This record gives sequence, structure tokens and C-alpha cells, in this order.
Amino acid sequence: MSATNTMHGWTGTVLRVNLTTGSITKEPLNAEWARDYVGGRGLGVKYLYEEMEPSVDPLSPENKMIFATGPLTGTNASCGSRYMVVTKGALTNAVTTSNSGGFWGPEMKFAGYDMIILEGKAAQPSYLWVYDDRVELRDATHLWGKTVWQTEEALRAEIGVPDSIIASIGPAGENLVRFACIMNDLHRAAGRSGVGAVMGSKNLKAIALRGTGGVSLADPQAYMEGQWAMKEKLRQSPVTAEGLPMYGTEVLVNVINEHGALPTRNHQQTVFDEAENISGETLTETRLVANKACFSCTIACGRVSTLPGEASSKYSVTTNPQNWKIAGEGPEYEAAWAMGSECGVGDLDALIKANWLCNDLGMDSISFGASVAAAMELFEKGAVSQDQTEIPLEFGSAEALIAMAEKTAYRQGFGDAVAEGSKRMTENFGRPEFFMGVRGQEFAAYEARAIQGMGLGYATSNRGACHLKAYTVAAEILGLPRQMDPRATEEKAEITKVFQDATSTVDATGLCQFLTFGVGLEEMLPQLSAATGVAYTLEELVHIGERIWNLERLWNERAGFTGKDDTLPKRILEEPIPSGPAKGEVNRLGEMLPEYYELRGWEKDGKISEAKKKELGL
Amino acid sequence: MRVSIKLFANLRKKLPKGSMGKATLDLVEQATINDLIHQLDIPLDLAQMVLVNGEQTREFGQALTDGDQVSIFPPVAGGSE
Ligand code: SF4
Repeated sequence: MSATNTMHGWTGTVLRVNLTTGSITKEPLNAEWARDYVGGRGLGVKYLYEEMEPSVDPLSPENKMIFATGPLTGTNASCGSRYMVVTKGALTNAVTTSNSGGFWGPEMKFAGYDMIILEGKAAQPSYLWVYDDRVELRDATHLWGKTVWQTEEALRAEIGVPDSIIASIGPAGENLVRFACIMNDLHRAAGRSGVGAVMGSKNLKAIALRGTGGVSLADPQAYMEGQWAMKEKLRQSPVTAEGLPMYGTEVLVNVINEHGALPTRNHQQTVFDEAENISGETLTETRLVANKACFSCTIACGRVSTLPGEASSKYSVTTNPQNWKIAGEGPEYEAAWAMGSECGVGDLDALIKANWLCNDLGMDSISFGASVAAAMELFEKGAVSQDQTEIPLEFGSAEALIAMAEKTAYRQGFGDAVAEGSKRMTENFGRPEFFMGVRGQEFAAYEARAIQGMGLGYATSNRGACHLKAYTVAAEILGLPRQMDPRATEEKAEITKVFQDATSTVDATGLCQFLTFGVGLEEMLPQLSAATGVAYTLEELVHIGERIWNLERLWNERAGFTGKDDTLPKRILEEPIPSGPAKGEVNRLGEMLPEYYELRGWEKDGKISEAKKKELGL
Repeated sequence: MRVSIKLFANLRKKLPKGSMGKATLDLVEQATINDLIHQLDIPLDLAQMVLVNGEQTREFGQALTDGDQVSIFPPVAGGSE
């Protein structure tokens, strides 16, 4: 083939599929962009920026979807499991970069591709089958309507390749639920911003992969030394060696609740009196079967949980009833928060079940839970009546939560309102102040009034409110890499910028962010350089992160977002926390934002300055 | 004086099973966080994150007062150096 064969780390090939015309082409990866944006989130955003007009309707054929791996995806670097879905978010209208682990991303590399770019819209339900260099777009009419778990089973049987790895959408994606996700390996989600709805709008049910190649390394010996060094550090960190494997992310329920920072009942309170019931400790003691790892991961934070005996039939569902007596994955902390304390539900079994439902139906459990919570506040305050909701949508009702999962995915009854996400839903019922999020996307599980830096992180996150773009909780609560006072605003602008940039780089490598509980970019650098043969420096990696962050922001500027969108709901800015350790606090965004803009080198109104664009080569 | 304590993650082993990590302890007047940690038989390096009434503190010589709520997390949950 072409010069692309000389690339290492990267496969050097991009697969492009036009669903409207059915054309399938392979093209060389742009090597210059690869060097400057690395891969995954960075490279995906670069391609989207160059190829697509940002003002298009996210659910129109003009929106493109990019599935992007990084150069370390599919290597034996610890946690080299990641792929990113880059597109215009159906929930947010902003650029989104939705990350998933499991085994799908590595398989794409083994099949020989760094990225798959999808364009247009198929005339009828279709799936893409990639077996090394054989690529076919096939009819999926018979799969349409199936849940994620049914789809994986049926599709693998049909393909006849037992080792094929599948990413698919469920009914939620087909029905254009604004927060539908893409699921792979049954339980792993490219979760946020409605990437599943975008896939549904393209009539694409699934992408099945099988690859028999590997990932070429520029300097195998240096690479191996780098990866052993990183694994050794991970082995020494109490969080990555013990905490995450033993308790998973769920360990955070009690940590955050004890700090008075666990948003509860649609952020009306910040302490949940039933936190213990839904905590990592309780999950581990009562419902955990085993922990589980993504491809090549030495941390293994995944939870395999079960509902034994009567617990399995406690809440009736119509979706896949045969599945409820076996084990499934989750819940993660964020899901347990959204469907748990945010809805006032303190029943762990209900959360396990609702979480499995979200996975099987293909919905983001964070936005789903948070949207149900907003609906519960609408109900509590009388903005919607039981005539409209059919069931009493009361805070604390596990029955209501479970019922809404199916109703939402199928857009039945009041589920049709919830399926629009809480921003549109609360606006439609005349109470926009009940929307708890930024740029149309619901918050994650950290109260911004109790953890000041998270407020700045949420407000400035390019894909809407998100905990994964600048996890200042690490410093403000967990003391990593150093302890900062969560109530103070000093230095928060700086830490937010530093975390945003570093995280952007990690997301570009193909590695999992959870590594950063134990190691930093310094430990990733030797592997990245040895794998790709590009002699990156630490400074350059930080600079690349900054470039990615600014390019996403520039994309959003072109889509119509301005500094005015860098804000938080009135409740967070003006209503003091009513009780608990953080009583009396509001988020003081106004103290942090101007400093943040200045550190970023942007204009006073948040616009990216020409000088900054020039410096970053944008 | 009496303080209520909450232990988390693998520190729960320090309390009788079924206590869900919660207990009320009688301490001598002026007892410090250090004294409490000692009385609970928790190695100092495992008391990674200590909160008194919801605020983190590293000043373990600080005297507790009657009615205080003390939460202790081990290093597995993160925590300051
Ligand atoms: S740390 Fe958890 S999410 Fe990350 S790669 Fe490992 S198992 Fe997957």
C-alpha cells in the first residue's frame, strides 16, 4: 500500500463509509494531524473540525460520526482500551467526545484502522461488518427494535465469527432519545451527549469488528520498558492497586456524601441520608460477584453485580425478563448517583436493575437518572400532574425510576418528555430553572456549590456539564496530586486549566483516564513516543492537550456558543445549600471565570484570541 | 465526651460486623484525633482522609469536642498525602 505502512502506533489507515451512497473507502491517515493531535479525542475533533460545518442539525445526515482510537489503543499498555465517538451531540448541539473501553477499540486497530468516519444516512436499517480489510454494509431490518444485548447475540450468530466485537444502539438510539448511548461488549458505553441518537438517525444499528492484525511499535524495547515502569507505579498506588479493583468508582458515594457534596433530589439537597444503602461498601458486601477489566487493563475497576433470588423480580420489567437472574455490570458511581440520590432512591437493587436496563436499552444512565430527577421535581412542584405522568413520579420511588427507563427508551407516555433530556423537558413545562446542567447536558455526581472548582469545570466543559474533562475532585476532595480546599476559589482557575489540558492529551492516547489516579503524563510519554516513533516531550504533550481543548472550543464557537454559555444554573449560583457540611455555600463562578479566561489567553468575553489561535496553530 | 464515628471501605473491619462502620465512642475530655485513631486501633498511615463534621483535617493533634462526628477513609479512596 501507500506510505501509511511506515506508521507505528497508528495503523495509518482511516475507513470512511458513506451511508447514503454505500461507498466504502480507505484512505491514509493525515500524518501531520496525527502528530499534532495524537489520536482519539484530539484527532477525531480535528477531522470533524476540518470536514464538517458545525451548524448542522445533529440528527441530520449532514452530521458526521467519527469512531477514533489512539496510538496506544490495542497495545499492552495498561488500560489501552479506549475509543472515542466524536460528533455533534444530539443532547447538546456542541462537539462531543464520548469515550468507551471494553474490547471494541483495540479490535478496530487489529482490523487495521485508526478511525472509522461515518457520513450520511442509510436508506434502511443497516450494520457495518469489518473483518480486517473486508468491509460490508449490510441490511439490519431484522435487528431494528432489538435491545443491545439481543443485538449482540443475534448479530454474532448471524456473522458466524464468535470472536467478533460489537458496538450497537438499543431502542433508545433508534427512537432518538437525546441521551441515547452506544454500547459495546454488552456493558461498556460511549455514554454521554446522545451519540446513540446520532447513530440512530443514520439508521445504523451496529458496527461489528474482527481484526487479526496487531499494533506495530517503533521501538519495542523502549516501549516495553515504559509500560513496565507505568505498571509498577500503578501497583504501588493505593487507589489503582487496591481501591478501584476492590470497590470500583462506587467507593465515592460515601466519600462525596460525607463532604456534603452528593447532589440529592435534583440538587435540592447535597447530603443523602440513604447513601450507605447505595455505597460501594454495600455493593461490595452484598451484590458484587467479581471485578472486571477492559482490554489490557491492570486496574480492573469494573463491577460484575447480581440480583439474587427475589431481588431479581422485585421490580417488574418487560425488557429481557430472562436476564434478571444472571449477573450484569455496574452500577458505576455516576449512575448510582443519578438514579440514586438525585432521584432520592436508596434501594441498591433498584439501581442495579435500572442500570442494566439503561445498558440493554442503550441510554446514558447519568442523563437518564438526572432527567427523571428533574421530572420528579416538576411533579413535586405541580408543574406536571399525574394525569400527564400516569405514574406518581415521586422522589424516592424506585418503581417510578424503573418504569421510566422503559417508557423513556420507547418514548411511551411521559417517557417521551423525559427522552428530550432535562433541559428541553423543563423548558417545555415552563420551569427551565429545574434543569441542572450546562450546554444542555446534565451534571455529574459532584455538587458545584460544595466543590468550587467543579463548578468552573462544568461551566467551561466543551461537551456540556461533565466530570471527565477536568476532574478537580481529585485535588479538591481526594488530595491528588495535592490537597486543595474545596470551598476556596483561589487557584481553581489554574487547576481547572491544567486538568482540562492534561485530560485532553490522555484522551488522545487511547489510554483510560483512571490511570491518572496513579500516574501522570510523564509515565505515559515513554510508551507513546516508543510506540509511535515520534519523540514527544512532556511540554509538547501538555501543549497538545491545550490545542485540543481550544479546537473543541473553536468548533463550539462556530456552532454558535459564546462565553455566555459558560455558566451554571441559578440554583447553583444563588441558592445556598440548605443543610449539611457545606451549608450556606453557593458556587462563586464569577470569582474564577475571569481568571480562567486570562490564563487561557482568551478575550474578556471568553472568545479565543487570535494570538492564542496562532500560538496553537489553529 | 461522646463522639460518633464512621469508618469506610476496608477500615470497617475495625468495628463489629453489622455495625455498618458506625459507632459512638466515649473519650476522655480533650482527647485528640490521634487518640481516637489509636483507640480504634487504626494504623496512622491508614487514616488517610479524616473529616470532622464534614471538613477535612490533617491536624490530628486537634482536640475533639462532645458531639463531634468523625469520618475516616483509608488510602484506597484517595486522600491527601
Ligand atoms: S480502569 Fe476501569 S474503565 Fe479504565 S480500562 Fe481499566 S477496567 Fe476499564
